[in-house]
Amino acid sequence: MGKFWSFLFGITMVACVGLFVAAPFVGWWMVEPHSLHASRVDNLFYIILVVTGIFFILTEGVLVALMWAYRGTPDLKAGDIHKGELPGFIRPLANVFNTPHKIEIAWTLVPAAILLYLGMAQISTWADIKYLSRMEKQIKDGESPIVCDVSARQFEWRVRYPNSARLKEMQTIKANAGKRDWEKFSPHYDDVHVVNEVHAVKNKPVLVHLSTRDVIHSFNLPHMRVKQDALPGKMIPVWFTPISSNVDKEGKELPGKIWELPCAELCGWGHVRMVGRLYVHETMDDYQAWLAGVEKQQRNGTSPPQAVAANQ
Amino acid sequence: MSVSPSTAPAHAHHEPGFLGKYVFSQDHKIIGIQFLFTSLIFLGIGGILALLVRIKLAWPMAEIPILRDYFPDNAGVISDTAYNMFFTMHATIMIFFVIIPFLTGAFGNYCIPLMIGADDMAFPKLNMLSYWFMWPAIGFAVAGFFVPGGHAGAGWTSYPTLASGSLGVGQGIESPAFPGSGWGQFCWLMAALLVGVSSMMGSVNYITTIINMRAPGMTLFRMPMTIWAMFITAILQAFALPVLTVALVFQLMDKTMGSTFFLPPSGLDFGNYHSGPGGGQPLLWQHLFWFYSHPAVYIMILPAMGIVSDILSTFARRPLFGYRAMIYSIAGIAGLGFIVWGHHMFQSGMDPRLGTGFMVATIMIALPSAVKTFNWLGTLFRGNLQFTTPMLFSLGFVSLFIIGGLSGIFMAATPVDIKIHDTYFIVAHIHYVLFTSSLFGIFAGIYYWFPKMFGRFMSDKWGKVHFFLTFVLGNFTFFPMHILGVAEMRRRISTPQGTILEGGLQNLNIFVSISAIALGLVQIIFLINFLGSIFFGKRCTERNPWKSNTLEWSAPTPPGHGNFDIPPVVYHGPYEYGNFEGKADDNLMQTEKAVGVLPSQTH
Repeated sequence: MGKFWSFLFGITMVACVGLFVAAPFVGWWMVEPHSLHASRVDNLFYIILVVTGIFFILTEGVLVALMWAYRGTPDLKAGDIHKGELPGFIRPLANVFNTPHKIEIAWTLVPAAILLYLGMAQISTWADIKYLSRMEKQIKDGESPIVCDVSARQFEWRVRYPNSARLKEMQTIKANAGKRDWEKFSPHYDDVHVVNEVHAVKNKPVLVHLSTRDVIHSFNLPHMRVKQDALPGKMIPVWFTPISSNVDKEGKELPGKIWELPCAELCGWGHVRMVGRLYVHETMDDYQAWLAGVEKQQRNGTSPPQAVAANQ
Repeated sequence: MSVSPSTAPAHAHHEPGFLGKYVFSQDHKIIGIQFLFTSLIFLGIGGILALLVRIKLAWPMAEIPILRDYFPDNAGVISDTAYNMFFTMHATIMIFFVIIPFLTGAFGNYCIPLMIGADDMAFPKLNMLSYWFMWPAIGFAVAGFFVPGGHAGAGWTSYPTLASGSLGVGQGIESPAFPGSGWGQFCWLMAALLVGVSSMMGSVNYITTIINMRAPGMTLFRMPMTIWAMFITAILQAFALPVLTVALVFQLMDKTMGSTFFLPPSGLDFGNYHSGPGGGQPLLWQHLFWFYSHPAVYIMILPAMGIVSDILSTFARRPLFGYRAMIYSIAGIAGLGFIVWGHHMFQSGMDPRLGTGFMVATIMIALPSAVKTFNWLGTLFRGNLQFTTPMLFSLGFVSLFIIGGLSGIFMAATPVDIKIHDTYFIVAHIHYVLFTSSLFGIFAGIYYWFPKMFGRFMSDKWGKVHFFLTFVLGNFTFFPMHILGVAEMRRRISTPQGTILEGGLQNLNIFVSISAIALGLVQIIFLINFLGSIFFGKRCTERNPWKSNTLEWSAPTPPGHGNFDIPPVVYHGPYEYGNFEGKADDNLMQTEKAVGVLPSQTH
């Protein structure tokens, strides 16, 4: 029976590795990265995947080999010990068990070094994505980010943008002047309101002031590798820089380029349906054209069509 | 005139009646078996809830005939609210009523006095009370399904303000946030509170018993790994549980007395209802909750690791590799376990600079786990592996714990966690740790100690069938969840079609659900084997059927009141398997004097 069980364990582990290798080819894999930091996150994912994959194959391989080589007989007698033998190619590897103290030191220090490396490798990326002090690194001289105010509630995202006039004013604030006035964006009577839509411009940082009115929600843009919980009673800044666009001149999504904004933190019975959209415009002009359109509708008293679409 | 109980010999007590012997028993063995049966019943309930979750995910609009009475408006289709309730209670039951009572309640109670050579626990009455405090908890946990609004549905983590949002004093307990966050959440909080009290009593008892009641010669470094694991687990519980209790009481007060521990100063808006100003912080709950619940993850795995270490050594007929390193690893995991809780909160709005510190601590906790894995492999080297059912479950544990351990590194890494946080990757990870590891350890322990408990063997043949199917179907069920998570399926969603990306994963979800249903049905084999073997299993008359070394195998089978007929004296550690001159067997029990050099000193 020992052979059978070793075989079962072996084949299961091969299948596990196989699924991870095959999944990207059948489309069961992560979406393409479309923000400045996204590929850095993905690279770290792949580094960990490779390191854990190697450890997985190594440890499971040794386990299966040991099970195969030392499968015992059911009737126990003294002297049956050490009867089994490992296959030749793996013997040097397993012989490490013969020198307990050396090997124990080795298998403590080597993984410790690898783990420490993995930990350290994350720090700068994490800091660039989330530390407020690093946000300016993404903002070029003489530019300011697109600022918006996202207020989550059961079960939608309410977004406010400064209108065209204020936008123009904010664009003149220089990020490197030490005065980050765009950080102080606060709701204004002439803001542009949209529901479940976040608009951005290619290669231009977006700064979202995230808050929630009721329960915890999570602002989750898979294509941008952005995820941040919205916390009641707190305003949390979130920023990212899209590096490709997904809408045409009219602001319509290109085929196959619907980028969603699903809520990632359980927020009640409608959690699954709390899904917004991200629209990344090709140029600032496109963005301003869209903004002017919504502004006009708002001023003329007709509700913006986007809000209707979002409630469908 | 009365005789002081401490001077009267244990056997001199008059035989208690049926109620005293099997119901209100103070005997640690009976209490252990009571915990065992209670946990088994809840394993069934939790399993059924899991299957309802999986059915909803694969076939969101399926009408389930049995549920027609429960959801009359819905023709038996599981509503979103009910779905939230099901996964919340699945997790709650599996954690608080299955895995913790199984490991610390059932095995802790049964094994600790027997394996250290004591005649009972240090505080038998407290021990009984610890079991009977489970019942009010069970009462609340079950009653919640029948209260207005249904049971709690804010996840087993019960994050405010979804769980705590309430109408305020004098306006009833109903919650504007979620139907189940009113009476259901109240029941949930009470249930968790009472389970905590029960665990606390157990933990005090275990610590005292292990420190004070070891047999002569049983030094700390001669204790089996099961005992070491139970000891450290009990310490974890003693230090972490008060924090959970505090958090639960806070939320209970927010819910019933109008306190505002988790209500922010700005208050909350639910539609037209405004809560009024608070003075608290929703994030406070997450800190308090995870300060307990992260160590709780280790409470749920360390005893299983101990059990598996003992079983591996027994059936490999080899001394446990690196006994001391194993103990230090467990202690290391437990110690580090107290400073890693923030890794559940990387995206929560906690200061991201704190996240960096928590990340490094979390990644380093993989080290003691890795050392343990290598030691288990080393134990097999040059062994004479006996593929009995407990051994298979232990090998399965090692094999699948590796997966659960390695996948943990992904979510410990803060930037990668941005991607996989709140996705099915997390669900896969937790199930590899709790199902295919903890539960495999529990199964191994049941098959292993069953002869000692009931004087009969469980069927080895059906045990192997059970293992084979559980191993295969367990992987079928849980491994694809990694892929689902990487492909952006969020967790806690009631239909996998909320987003376009999730819609593309429907086929994989159906596959997972079918595997899960099969996995659930397979457990019937175990149930029949377990219940049938109590009455009809092959009799076990010998004391030491597995030719093991630890003290419980030197007691009669099953052990009577007071456990040992010959008071045990311990001469060496528990892992002496090998060749002994002038001895036919390859094991040397802890009560046998050693002749020559011990195997553990030569390898």
